[in-house]
Amino acid sequence: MAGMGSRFCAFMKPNVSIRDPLRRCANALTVNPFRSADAPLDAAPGPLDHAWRVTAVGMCFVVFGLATGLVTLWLLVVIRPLPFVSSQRKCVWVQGWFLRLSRWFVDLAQALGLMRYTIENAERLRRPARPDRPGRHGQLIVANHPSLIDALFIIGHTPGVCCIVKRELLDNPFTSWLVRSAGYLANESDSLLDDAVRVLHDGRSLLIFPEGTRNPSDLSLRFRRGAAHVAIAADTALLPVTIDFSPRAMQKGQPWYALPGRASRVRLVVHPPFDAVARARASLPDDAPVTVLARRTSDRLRDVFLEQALQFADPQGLPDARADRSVGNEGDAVEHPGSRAVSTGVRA
Amino acid sequence: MNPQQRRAALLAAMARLFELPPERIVDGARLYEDLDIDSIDAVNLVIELRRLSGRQIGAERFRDVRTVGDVDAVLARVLDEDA
Repeated sequence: MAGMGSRFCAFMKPNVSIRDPLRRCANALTVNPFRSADAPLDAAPGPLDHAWRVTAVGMCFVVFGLATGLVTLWLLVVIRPLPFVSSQRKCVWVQGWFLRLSRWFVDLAQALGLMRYTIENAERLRRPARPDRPGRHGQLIVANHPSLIDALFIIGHTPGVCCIVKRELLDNPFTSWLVRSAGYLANESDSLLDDAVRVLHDGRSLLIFPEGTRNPSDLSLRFRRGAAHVAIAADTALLPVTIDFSPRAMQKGQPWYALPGRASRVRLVVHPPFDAVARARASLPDDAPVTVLARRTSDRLRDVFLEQALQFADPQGLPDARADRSVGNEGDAVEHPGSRAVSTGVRA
Repeated sequence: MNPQQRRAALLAAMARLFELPPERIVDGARLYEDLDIDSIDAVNLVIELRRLSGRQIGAERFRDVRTVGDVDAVLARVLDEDA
């Protein structure tokens, strides 16, 4: 048990880059005053802990809103009209600011004791998908979508990543230039599939949440087939990122102050590139239509997430199972997810 | 192409493209909600219908299509126009 704990803490430690003033600022902030920094997350929270976290979430949103406003102002008023700077270079700057803001927000939330996050194999996010064409083909990153802030973890660690955003952001005069400069794509666009393929062929990575929206439980995983179609059309492997947010927080339809009883532990795992298309093809006759291929590809991809959700669900968050964490057998692993899914469904 | 042939062709196309058992492809079945046919699937269905009917069918004709019955009706109109 003690061994597990220390190993966990070792990779929990955020890698602080002193040169980034935003990160330094986030890490210098007070941590949760009602909980010591080394207290394990599953220790019983004090009575003030929840109240603190609700206050801190409010602060987070206000501070993040202000920071985003300032950066927007800087980019729109100073950077945008700059003469003699190519628009390509401006795009790189905008993307850089998106990365910094995202990383800063999750570091701030962590520093305030709202959650602790780890990203396993984060370096894979920066690797080209095709070793034979290094740097020339972006990666198709796919992730499950448990919470409001999932995208921020990935944007904050993937330079130049392209996202798919709501159409309204492109029509809004305040966000339009920013979103266009970052090269983000709008959903509900007729050319979305072609645009997505072009992004990947241009060498940029693309982030897609195949569920399209936040899911109601870790095991629901209703995948739409857009990501599969992009993978087929771009002839590329997928890079699955599984996100385990436990206990779940900032879910769809929840008010911002509805926080779980204790701080969340967020564990992102970047898996090796997974060629779901090739696997799907292998199981189909050569003349299978693309619609069937997309269905199989999407199923294969979903299996990766389902398998990981079952593993994540193992003993975490189950008070009665915590004692025998080191024992764990096959039977338990199958039993837990169901009970966990029920408990997440019931939580107000 | 008589109505029975048209119907059979549509059934065959949908079964092949979307792996649906024929008993689920009924007039009242909604494409998205009941049969899990998304927008990209719909484009592929239009391409398949063009191939089957040997006629140019504009995608805009399927804009208001919601159910299998609607698809059949559009197909019937297209075939009538050319006859």
